[in-house]
Amino acid sequence: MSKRLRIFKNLIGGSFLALALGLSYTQIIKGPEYFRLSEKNRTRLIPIIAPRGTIYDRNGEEIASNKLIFDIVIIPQELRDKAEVFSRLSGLIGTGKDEIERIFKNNYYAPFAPVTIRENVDKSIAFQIEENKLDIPGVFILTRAERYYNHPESTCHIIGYLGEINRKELEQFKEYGYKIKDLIGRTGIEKLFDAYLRGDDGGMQLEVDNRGRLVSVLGQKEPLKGNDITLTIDARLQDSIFDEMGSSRGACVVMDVTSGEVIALVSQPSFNPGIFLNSGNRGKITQLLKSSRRPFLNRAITGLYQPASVFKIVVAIAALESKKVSPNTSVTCSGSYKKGNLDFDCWKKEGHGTLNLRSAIANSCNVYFYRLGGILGVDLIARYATEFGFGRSTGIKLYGEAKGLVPTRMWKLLTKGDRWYEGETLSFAVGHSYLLATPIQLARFISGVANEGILIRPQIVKSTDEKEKSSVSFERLSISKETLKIVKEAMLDVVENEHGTGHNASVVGLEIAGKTGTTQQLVGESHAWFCGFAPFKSPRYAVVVFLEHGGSGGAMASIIAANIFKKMQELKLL
Amino acid sequence: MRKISAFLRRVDKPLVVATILLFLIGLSFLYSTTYHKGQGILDRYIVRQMLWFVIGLIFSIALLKVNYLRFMDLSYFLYIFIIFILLSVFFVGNTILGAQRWIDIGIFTFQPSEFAKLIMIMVLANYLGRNRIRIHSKKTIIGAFLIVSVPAFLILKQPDLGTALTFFAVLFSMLFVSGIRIRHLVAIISGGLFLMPVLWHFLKPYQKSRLLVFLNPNLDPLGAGYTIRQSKIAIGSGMLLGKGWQSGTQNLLNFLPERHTDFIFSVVGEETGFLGAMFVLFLYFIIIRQSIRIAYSTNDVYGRLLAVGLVTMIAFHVFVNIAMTIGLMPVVGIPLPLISYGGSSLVVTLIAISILLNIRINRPVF
Repeated sequence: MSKRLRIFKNLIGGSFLALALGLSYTQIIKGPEYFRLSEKNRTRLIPIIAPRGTIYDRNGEEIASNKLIFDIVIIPQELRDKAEVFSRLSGLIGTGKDEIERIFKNNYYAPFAPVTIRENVDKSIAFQIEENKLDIPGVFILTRAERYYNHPESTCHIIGYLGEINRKELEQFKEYGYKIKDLIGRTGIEKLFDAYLRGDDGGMQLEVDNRGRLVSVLGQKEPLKGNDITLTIDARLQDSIFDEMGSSRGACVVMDVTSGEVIALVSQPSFNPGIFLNSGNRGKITQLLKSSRRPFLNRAITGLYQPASVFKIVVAIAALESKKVSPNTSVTCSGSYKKGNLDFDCWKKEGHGTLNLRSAIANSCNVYFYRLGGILGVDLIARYATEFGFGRSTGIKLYGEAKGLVPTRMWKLLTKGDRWYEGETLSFAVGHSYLLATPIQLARFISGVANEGILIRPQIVKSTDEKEKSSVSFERLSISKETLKIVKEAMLDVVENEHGTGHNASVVGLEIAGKTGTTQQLVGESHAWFCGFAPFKSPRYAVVVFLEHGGSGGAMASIIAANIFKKMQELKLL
Repeated sequence: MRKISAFLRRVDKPLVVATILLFLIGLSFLYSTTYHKGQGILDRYIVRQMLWFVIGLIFSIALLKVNYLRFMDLSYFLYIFIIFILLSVFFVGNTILGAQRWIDIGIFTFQPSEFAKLIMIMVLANYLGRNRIRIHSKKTIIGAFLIVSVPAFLILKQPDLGTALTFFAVLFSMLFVSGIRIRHLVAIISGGLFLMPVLWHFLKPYQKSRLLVFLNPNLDPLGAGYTIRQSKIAIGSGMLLGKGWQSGTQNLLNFLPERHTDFIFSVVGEETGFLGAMFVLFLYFIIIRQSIRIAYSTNDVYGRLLAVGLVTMIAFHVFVNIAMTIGLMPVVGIPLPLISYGGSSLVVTLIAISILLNIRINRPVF
């Protein structure tokens, strides 16, 4: 019996040893891992979204700011009598009781996590809820900052818009602190300066119990607002140009010729960037994206068009600089020009008669420039065009700028596999053929002419919180003063001479120089251009107006230009 | 005064000290697990547990006055009585946590199955002691099985798998120490293994899922596996020194279910760490070592069998309960003696220890 008793004793001893080993494994070896799990059990993080930085115009007017939004939320653990609270809430906000119940169920996450019942309610409703607080335990008003665009339609192409971060972007930017469901800039300043504008989100670390109910707040990190940006844009001018353009499609650019600061950049049609902030607008957004009017296209920097007669200024400069033509070289226009067995028409069927260079520009005579084109040849014109920035992006800090195209013999051989025909040179000399440019390129070009041959980079950002960004970047072109003087005077005639093609652009009390352009379209009305600068004696601003299917450049485009100049006078800019 | 000091001389002091220490430790963790802000210091769990301790103490001291051999004579009568009580549980019993285990007697409820354990040990000691010369016969073994099976079946029906298992653990160790043939023992064990798939069908769904979760702890982390997972997290997160009394997050934030009863050791492990858990284990070791010494110290077969049965009962409870909290055993509802909240278990453990002391005091001296 005592032998069995000894075995029995050893068995019990062995089982206790097993327990001791089990405890050392659980508490010593696996202890730290279980400790982490217990910490994870009890803590939750609720992010507090930081407001984005404000975007100001040059005068300190807010273009993109943040608006206080009131959301109606229910904190599940504070909810006592569900049915009663839901029906009272229904009476206050007008949403059906069943609908509230459905929203609550679908969005429930944890007892401590607020469930949003309705976003962005009116201030009066928010106050009403606060007043009835005691009758609806568990219902709260949460405030948060939402992006707010003060000039939504007129500035949308500059500012851009926000959208929820997608998976690819999230992978790419995770290490920079981007999180799921974050809003990220989609185009424009919002995109280009996203990292700068976005704030540093704060958060609350909560201690919760097994059912996720809040026990205590362990810590709180206040959100930090993002950095502000000041643009070179003048919102007053921007708005007025936007209204001026009305329902016509096109783009307008107003640029300071000495600093390169763009004080207005409008593209029509436009959209309201605010619609992207509300998920309820999906239908509206799809409709806009599909629209044949292409409202998301920033025509001022991405739209590629033939500059038409505006390009004659480049050809004239090329002719004078290469000394192949003198200012007094005269050509007789009979309304058309014969090249080989083809007839090239002037826009004025009855002809302009005999013209020198200055009057050819003022009257925008095609025949004169066909002759110049024939004399200069495609590559020489292309060289001067490139020098003036055609076919090269301007480097403006906006998203998606197009480069444009300046054709040469070589270019045609390489891309089309065909030689250059002389007839194409004539078409090129009056700004057609393969030539493509953006309105911002033309603004830079006109500034360059006005500015004695200094080609300046357009700027849209005046300053950020960090520093004044007034570093002017420019190229000094080797164009003689005399050449520019002749061209500028011719441009003065265009507007100030009552027979000038751009006379509609003239404004009382202001000397304006400019050039019109009309691009024939296969379908519909022609595209219209007006490019000019003022004041003539000491140029300060270049103005480019482009209208898709706007008729002749001397008509609507010039009238809009005149109104822009008038508005600038009114604003004491000129 | 002299009587008391004479009594103290004869009593097994380490056994008594370890018992009282474990009860006090139990009380402090009962406080830690049931204390809620705003409630008085003496919440009802503490008061009740102390009241049960006093009741258990009165019984224990009273029983010390009687020679344990007198219980032997009463054992068959008590056996019939407890079977009657166990049957009545099905008619008048209270249902707590889905099991009919409790009987309401005025202010208190009690669990007859706890007392059944004690009575069964006495009956077995009586039966095996009387049949010690026929211990090699199959008949004797079958008789012992029958004695255990009737109450075990009734308890399994309640359902209370843990207590029923205790019965068989006690039976095995008492048969073993009685000197049963090894081949009989092997036959019993293989028979048990053979019967397992059959028994599986008699288990309740929750018992089945507990066993399945034991085999694969990640099977159902929010359902059947939740308790064991949270218990392991609690004990493990205590690491070497623990999070401090009343500072266990698994405990205070409610992550641990049944933490004042079957899973109280998880809180001990969380709040006092490896050192605290090992100290508790050490105190149990003292109780068991002293009890086995008592079994050795007596020449009386009845006393020795009784001691072996009681030690097995206590050791089995301690082992299964602690092993369960760290995932070494499946979850079966077995309380931790002297620490878990529950009057019947406390009183029965105190009486068991009193009987052990009794065996030592009244051992025949040659």
